[in-house]
Amino acid sequence: MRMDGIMKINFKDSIQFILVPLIVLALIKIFWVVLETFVLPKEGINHTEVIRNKPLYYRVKLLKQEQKTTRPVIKKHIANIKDIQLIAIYSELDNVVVTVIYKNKTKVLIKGDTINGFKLISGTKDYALFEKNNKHYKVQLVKASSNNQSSIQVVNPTTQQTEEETNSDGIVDKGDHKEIDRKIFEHFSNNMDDIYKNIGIKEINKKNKKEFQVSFIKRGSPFAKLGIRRGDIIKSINGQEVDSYGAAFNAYQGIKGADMLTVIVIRNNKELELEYEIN
Amino acid sequence: MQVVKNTFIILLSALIAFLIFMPKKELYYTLEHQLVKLGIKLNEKDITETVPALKIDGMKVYYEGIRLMDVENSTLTTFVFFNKINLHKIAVASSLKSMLPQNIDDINITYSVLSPLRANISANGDFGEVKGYMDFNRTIHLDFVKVGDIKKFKRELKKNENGWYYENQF
Repeated sequence: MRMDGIMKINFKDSIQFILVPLIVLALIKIFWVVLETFVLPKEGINHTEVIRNKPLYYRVKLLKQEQKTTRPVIKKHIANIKDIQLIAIYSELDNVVVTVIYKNKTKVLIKGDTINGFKLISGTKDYALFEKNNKHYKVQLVKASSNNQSSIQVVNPTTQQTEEETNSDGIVDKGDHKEIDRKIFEHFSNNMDDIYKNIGIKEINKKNKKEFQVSFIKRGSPFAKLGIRRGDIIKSINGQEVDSYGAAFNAYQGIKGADMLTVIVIRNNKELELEYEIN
Repeated sequence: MQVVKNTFIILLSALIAFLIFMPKKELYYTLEHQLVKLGIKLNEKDITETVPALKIDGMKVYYEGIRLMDVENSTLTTFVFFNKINLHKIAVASSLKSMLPQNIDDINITYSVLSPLRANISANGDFGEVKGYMDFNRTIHLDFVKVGDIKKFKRELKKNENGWYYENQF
């Protein structure tokens, strides 16, 4: 009778010893299964790398290629720049508007317009620069005290740099575009930190994308001479839209080794194309 | 005594069951979903689930679409009261060479209930050896125990009587 009692107690204890942990295990398993089935995600999120072999569009030096492959065309009629008198000029960063007298008629030209075969390519407050047959012609503004005759100077393309706005930062204003010294370009494309010292860019969050706005430009820095202004929104670089950090970084990576650089910015709600040649 | 013994058995079996049945892969996916909200994405070649750990091979870390680093293999271990993340052989993107060391051999991040407000960090690589912590005030502090090649990112570091250190709030 007593042995039966001991056996019953031991059997009961043993059952309890095994059963309780098993119940705990089962409960925990159920907990995880429920969580796994109804709450936790079945798959992770992977990043898909966007491979952009080439920008949507890009510029090539067509002019230089033509020069290599074609012979210069000799025209019978050689127009005379002296027929053109510059009486007024308005020159802003990328815009040039001039008023000229040609054959006793007053004409207003904007950058890119042609008169008598001479194409207006740039200008300063004192002169306008025309181009014809790869030669540059500098037409001085007629001063009130002068004999109403513009002074004309043929600018040799090889020595043109001395006539144009050159600065010690290796950035040359070519009128319709700017020329950047490759050494400077390479320096900034390899040293991101130096970019941030000279130019500040802040992000603006739009609905599904980001915009990058120039918040400051260090005075006298190479960036100030590139024509970029505070408040400009950088829309694209070499045709690659800058709408996320990734896109901005890819664009930055993509410009390494480039010969041409086209930056589209939004200034005063208008798109503006800034062109640079890296030499 | 019997009650104590039973309670201990129950707790121990609960802990073991908790670790064995833990859906580590799914929890890792949850972590991935949370990191996406911070702009961080993780790509991995292979994920292997073991009893205490999750092993991830060929992990690539992206921030806002920018590839930050490649981690050859990493291990996430949890014992509930003590958790450890080990990242082995890390190659940082060359474009970030001015901000981060290029090659990191190991990064260990440990979190224990004994110091619940901070996670301890240790790392070594061609920059030397660092030890420090990351706390809930979003502060990261790393002391250079052994200094290696720190030339490229020296400007990010500060110096005190104990040597070079890095401190930042994120």
